[in-house]
Amino acid sequence: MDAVTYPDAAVSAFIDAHFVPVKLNLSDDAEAAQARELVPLWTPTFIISDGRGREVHREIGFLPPNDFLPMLALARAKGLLATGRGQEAIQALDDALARFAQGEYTPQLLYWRGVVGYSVTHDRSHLAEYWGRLQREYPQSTWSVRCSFFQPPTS
Amino acid sequence: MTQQAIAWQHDLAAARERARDTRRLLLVDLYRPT
Repeated sequence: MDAVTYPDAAVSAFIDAHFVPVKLNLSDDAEAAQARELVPLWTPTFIISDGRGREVHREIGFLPPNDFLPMLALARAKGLLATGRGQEAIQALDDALARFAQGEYTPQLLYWRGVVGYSVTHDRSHLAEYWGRLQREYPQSTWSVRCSFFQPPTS
Repeated sequence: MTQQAIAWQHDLAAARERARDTRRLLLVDLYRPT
């Protein structure tokens, strides 16, 4: 991460704009003691939480910039939703979908755009639009499977 | 363009306090040096 992902200008700018960044070295006794409550199973582990320590997203394993950035955008949107800032969460996901239109995280962004839109507005059209698009454009994705019970209305 | 280094913190409790004060989320990277 230090060699490839963190030196990326877009990554560092996004972190600087939206996060308080913390690194804990599990080979250091004092820092490992701080990390114990977070139950690290492997490294690297990335945990996104609010200021009270309530976790909203976790990923394990190296991520290059093109995956790390949409992961951060998704985690930010989930954090905004969890802290009652639903409209900002919708905007964050719309921005992420515009910026990362085709990538490893796009199906997951579509899944969560449907979830967040519906959670904030209770309007099923968000599910129809984004889960429908997910099912059409990424039928093999595990995220498409997760909403496969949903039948978008036919127009 | 000058590369901006990420201002990593190494104190979880202090970082949580800053996150609360600034209404930001916390990004924690748990790692082992390779």
